[in-house]
Amino acid sequence: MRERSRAWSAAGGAVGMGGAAAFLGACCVSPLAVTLFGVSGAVTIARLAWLQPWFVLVAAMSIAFAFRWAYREGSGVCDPATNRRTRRIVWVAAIIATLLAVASFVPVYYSFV
Amino acid sequence: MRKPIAVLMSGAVLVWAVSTANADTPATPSHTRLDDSFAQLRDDFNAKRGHVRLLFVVDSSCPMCLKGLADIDEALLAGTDDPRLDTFVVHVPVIGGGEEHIAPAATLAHNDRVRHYWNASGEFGGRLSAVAGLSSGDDFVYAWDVWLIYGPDATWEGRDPPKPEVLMHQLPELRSRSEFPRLDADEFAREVRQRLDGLADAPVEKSP
Repeated sequence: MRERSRAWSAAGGAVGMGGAAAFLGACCVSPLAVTLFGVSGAVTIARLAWLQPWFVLVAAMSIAFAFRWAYREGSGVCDPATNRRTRRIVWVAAIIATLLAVASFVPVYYSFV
Repeated sequence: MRKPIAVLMSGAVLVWAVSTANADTPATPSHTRLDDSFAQLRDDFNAKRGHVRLLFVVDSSCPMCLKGLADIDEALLAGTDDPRLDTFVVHVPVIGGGEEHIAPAATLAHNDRVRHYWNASGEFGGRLSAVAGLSSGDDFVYAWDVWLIYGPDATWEGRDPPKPEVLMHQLPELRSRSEFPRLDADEFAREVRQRLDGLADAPVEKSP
């Protein structure tokens, strides 16, 4: 049971970190940041852009831990259906986190002009 | 019954009068509109010959451009009132920045000798790119989010701006071009101060 909740937490953390990385990546090239947060807010976000690769790294580590806990033998979960569901959730989270992480790098390498 | 109507009508007339008065009184312009001859900027630039001149090209809705402006302000502009330093900021629409974004962006530069220009067509970035030789391999790189320094002898002749002495940028496409360093506000400020020190004997303009 504990392994399952750990796997879910790690999967959720990975998606959150991927989302944060994508937010930082997108905000640095999007006029939306100025509209939403004003000039000073946009400057602050741009100054946090250096955190983006670190967020991606933490997302990757979280996914690794989520898989480890989801596929660990003797995790204490006897119900195969629960195991399957946990593993499915971890896979979905891994895909979402990967897409977000990749998307976060797009503005770093292309300025769309 | 007549009294409330009279009060309402008086109020309406007052509102109309105030709004008309405001419309007739132009707000303090935050920027100059630049047509594709760039004549106004060229004249302003040449009028400051003998000074160190900075030219920035930004999209005022781009957070990284705003960060660049804020960084240079902290490293240099906010800390000096040297009359031999003039700054020209050209705002171009690249990712959606409009004329309405200029005034808020202008608040990031705390220096009386900063002037803002709006080039609606964005032609200025293209011309500057050609002059400065911005490219990545065979690909043209549009000049925005670029930070230029001109020495006292630079003169703008013809339509295109002169080639800068220093060009820093925040463009991913120029990473491979070592002659164009990525913007480092402290290094930029050092380059400017070095040139200002070289002007020690130059006549200092008096404030009016």
